[in-house]
Amino acid sequence: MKKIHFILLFCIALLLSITKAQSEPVVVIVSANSPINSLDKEQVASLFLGKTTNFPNGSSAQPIEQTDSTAAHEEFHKSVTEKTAKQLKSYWSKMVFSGKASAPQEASSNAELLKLLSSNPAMIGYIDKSAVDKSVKIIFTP
Amino acid sequence: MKKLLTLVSLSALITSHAYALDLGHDVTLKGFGTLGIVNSSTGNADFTANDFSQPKGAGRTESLSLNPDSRLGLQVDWQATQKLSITSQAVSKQGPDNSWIPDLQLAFAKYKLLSNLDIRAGRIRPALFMMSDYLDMYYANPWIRPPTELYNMAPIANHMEGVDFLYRPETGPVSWLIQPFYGYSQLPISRNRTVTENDILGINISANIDDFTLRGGYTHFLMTWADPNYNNKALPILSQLSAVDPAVLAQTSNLSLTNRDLNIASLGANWDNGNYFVMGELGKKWSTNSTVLDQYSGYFSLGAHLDKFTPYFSFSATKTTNATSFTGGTGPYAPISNEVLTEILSNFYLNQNTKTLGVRYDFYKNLDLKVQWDRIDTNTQNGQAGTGGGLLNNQTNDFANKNQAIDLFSVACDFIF
Repeated sequence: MKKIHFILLFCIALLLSITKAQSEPVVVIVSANSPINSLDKEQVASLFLGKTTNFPNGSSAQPIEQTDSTAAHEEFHKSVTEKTAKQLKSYWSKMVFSGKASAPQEASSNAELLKLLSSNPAMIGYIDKSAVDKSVKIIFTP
Repeated sequence: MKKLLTLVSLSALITSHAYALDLGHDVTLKGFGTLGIVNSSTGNADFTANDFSQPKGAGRTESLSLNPDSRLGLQVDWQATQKLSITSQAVSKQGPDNSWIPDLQLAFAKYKLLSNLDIRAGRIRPALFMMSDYLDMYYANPWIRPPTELYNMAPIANHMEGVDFLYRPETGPVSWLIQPFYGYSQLPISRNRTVTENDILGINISANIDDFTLRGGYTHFLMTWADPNYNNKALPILSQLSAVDPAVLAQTSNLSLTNRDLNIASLGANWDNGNYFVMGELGKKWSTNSTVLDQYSGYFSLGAHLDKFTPYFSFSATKTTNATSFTGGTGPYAPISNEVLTEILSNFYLNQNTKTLGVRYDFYKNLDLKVQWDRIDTNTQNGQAGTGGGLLNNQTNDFANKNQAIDLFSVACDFIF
């Protein structure tokens, strides 16, 4: 291996590690008391786009968003709804002002999200994996 | 006008803090608005964003005008129970009487019948085209305003009293929206006219797979215009001619403005993958009556999302296929019959197209700035006098006698909260 190859590989590895460190994995969670144990990607995306307002078992579901400036918001929507912040804003403004659906409630922090979810089994949210505690359970990992 | 500007700036302030204001007791306040200014290269006619409802625009009335695009909307939603919600939306913009008094655009109750089926009753918007549901909210569009050639096809785009169903089944990867609607509408429009639409019956169907949405719709209604100008000027002459020329008499119901049957069909598609978008719509309007335009309209648009900038291009056009002349007069008064009827029919020709180039800049959370150039070309029917005015308003007497080319330059700032 020539030196130049090593330097190239090193740089690629470094780049990979940087990008990996930047995007902390997010997980989809519900209250630990919820009867829901797992959902698939399409089901989660449907709930967060307001296409359905019920869990597959028929019970009512209430998605909670993170504010769109958070890394979790970007990571979740990139991998689950596959929409950019700009697309989401346009999507929800159309839904809301045509009177077809209302946009999800927003939590301002991980702590607020956990507090909301732990007290209401109808709620579903997403959070940085490292922030998960015992009050909630993971039902989907993108 | 001043009030509107104060409201716009106030709302812009609110925007920097939240997306919607929670007023407690499950009531939220939301809003949208546009502050836009338009300059037109002609002084012989007005450009308006809506031919039916805006009496004054940019061009002949004033060279720089806030009228075509500026508006402010406020919406209050009350989630009464898990299944029942109430929505009302008032919009302030230049009205048919040139006032800026807010008009109630939405006022309905929505009830969830099944997990994927809602019914709405009250004042709703008939979903004629892809953007009819949120026509006043410019923030949702890449361009400054929805293409006027298509969105001026029917004055009922505003609102109606009625019922609709929102049915959202999912079949595999496809999410559907099936929205049948029925209603009645009576709206004042510019130049002291009133348009009444009875038995509005239509359906809007859209299918969405990932980044792609396909939409189709069909609407039928009976339209009556109360038009003092037509009633006072054209009708007396027509009735005199009918007495002496049976060929004119035979045209009476054809030239009536009462209970004209009207059909609108449309097909649209939208693809947006977050980096690029391509969209287009085609609409067709037809009627058995000569005083309703038989018309094709459509647009095609594409653009790129470059971080905060969205450059775009579009082309939109409308083509009418009505007869613009009459040669069937009989008896000694035939030449007069032909001239009068031809003059009336020459008004039912609105061919024009617009090329649009612009850029949207999302410079702050829920605020955007758009700069746009439009080139409008109007066409006469084979040079026939009176047929060349396109969709422009307040034309000087000879404006419609030849093809016209107009440049518009517009700047607008939109927000939502």
